[in-house]
Amino acid sequence: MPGSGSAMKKQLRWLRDELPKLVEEGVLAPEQAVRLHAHYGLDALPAARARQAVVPVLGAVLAGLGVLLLLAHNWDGLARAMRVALALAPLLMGQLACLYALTLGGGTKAWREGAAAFTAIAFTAALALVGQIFHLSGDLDRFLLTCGLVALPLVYLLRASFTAALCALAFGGWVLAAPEQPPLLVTGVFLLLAPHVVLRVRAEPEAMTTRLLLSALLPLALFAVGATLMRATATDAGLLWFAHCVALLWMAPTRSAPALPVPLPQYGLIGLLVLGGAATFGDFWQESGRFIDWAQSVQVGLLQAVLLLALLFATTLAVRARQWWRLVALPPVFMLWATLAFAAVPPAAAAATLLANGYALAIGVTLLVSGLNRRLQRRAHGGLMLVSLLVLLRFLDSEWSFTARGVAFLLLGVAFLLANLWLRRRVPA
Amino acid sequence: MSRRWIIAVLLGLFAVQWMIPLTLIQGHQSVLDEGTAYRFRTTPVDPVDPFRGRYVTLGFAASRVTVAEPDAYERNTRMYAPLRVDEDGFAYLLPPLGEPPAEGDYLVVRVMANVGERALRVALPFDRFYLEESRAPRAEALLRRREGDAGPQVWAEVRVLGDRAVIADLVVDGRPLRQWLRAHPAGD
Repeated sequence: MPGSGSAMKKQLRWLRDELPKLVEEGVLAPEQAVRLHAHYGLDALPAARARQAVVPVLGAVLAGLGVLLLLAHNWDGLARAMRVALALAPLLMGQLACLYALTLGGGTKAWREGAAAFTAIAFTAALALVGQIFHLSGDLDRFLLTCGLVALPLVYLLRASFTAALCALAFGGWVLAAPEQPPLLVTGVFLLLAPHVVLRVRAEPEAMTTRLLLSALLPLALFAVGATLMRATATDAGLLWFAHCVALLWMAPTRSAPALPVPLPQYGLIGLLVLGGAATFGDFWQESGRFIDWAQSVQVGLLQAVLLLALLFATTLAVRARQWWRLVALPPVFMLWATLAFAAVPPAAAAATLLANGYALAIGVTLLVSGLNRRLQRRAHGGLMLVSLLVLLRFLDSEWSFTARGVAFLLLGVAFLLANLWLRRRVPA
Repeated sequence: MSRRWIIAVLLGLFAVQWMIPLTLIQGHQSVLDEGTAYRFRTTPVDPVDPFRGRYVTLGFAASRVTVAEPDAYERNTRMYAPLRVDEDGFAYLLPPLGEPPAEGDYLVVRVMANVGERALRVALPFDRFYLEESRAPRAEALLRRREGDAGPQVWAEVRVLGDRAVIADLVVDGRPLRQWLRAHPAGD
């Protein structure tokens, strides 16, 4: 970082705070902002602005949730008109705060985010209280969808990423409460947030609110669409969707400018471990009704085709960049396609189980050997953990007695500890 | 978009935010004020809604409807069940119809399942009664303990007007539940 002292830090903080505005106003290209960021080491500065933005938002959300909880208590000693007035008062306060945020000098990010989040929660509280007063039936799905859709314009009018994350939560809850929704409708609803996400990632890739938004939105959207696919057709259409998504996340480019604000490959890795672990069980491949009748649902075919094209594109990028490790996500996807495209017969299922186990073992051993050869403790540990996980899963899968499994687990634990000790002595961290 | 436009759109959104709860309030209040009152026999249990608080779920005897051919009804279909009152003064439903009946009150129901050779289970448009946080579990405990005994008679007073039906009160032995709870402290 050039220069030193509090004056320099102050100027650098000013520059860091100005960059997003300059990008937003078109004075700087996002790539230029990223280069300036890197040149002046702005990431190393204390996140004062982030705190300034987060604290009021947190305050607004807590206050809003407090109102919601107070109303949920149900003060049935109060007259109905009084309870209605109490329910609607926070909404009015939130709306006034929104107007203030846009007009009377309150246009800071903290005001915009805080006012929008509070208004969204206040509307939820108002609607909930009306349901409470009139003893309205369940319909949690419609309630959450209404709250999410009504909050959506606030996201765009006040550029409020935190409220966008709340919308994503509401949409996720909507699907969870009623997973029988058409997959394309769910995709469309989540896509309503896409323009805001793109704008924020381009303008403020490093902002905490942008990270929070992506961290909430991506998993929620993927799981919501997957859940509707599972419900709408055979379970395996959802499984294929998850496999595609996990592979895409793992293959997401990490060196592009501006850098993605959330660790997508890490998300992909977690998904790969879960999906890969499940695929090593025989039942995973032997479920009845694996065969997907593609003609049954145009929506399923359309969604899977889009993902397949995206996967092909990601593969091309990985090959061009010579990032071969990114391709490890592809074989499980192809295996799933192979077993789902044709009705699975028992020998094919057995072969698939064997292949999945062999593939996971090969990756684990490769990581372990490569880590040892290159003296990379993290990689070696990763390989060791993968192999251990595979062995553990097979113990769970087997029909051994509890005593035999207990002894095996004990031996495996000791072997893991010894291997770890050996690694620590020979390989630097 | 200029600031003036943003504020104009924002004001439009605020109007929608007020319109949704106020329309709900107006619609349901008119049912309470002008609707016909019916008594539905019920059994309460106590769950929690994450947003709206504690309530007692109501299981209604009227949700079991006697029909000639249960298989003729498709599950999850929205139908219209004419309302009648038995000799004890409690409401029951006639077999659901595809269209609202020309005369008399009715409930909009959803066909759930066949429950026997000549019976159908339907979901009624009301199934819960919200109570203050501490009262719902106590109400459920007090009422459930008396199941199987002669115990108190529990019914929901429901107001019906057109397509809408709103629970006005939960009544135990002729007294509103809140009054009845005050007369039956915990453990009584």
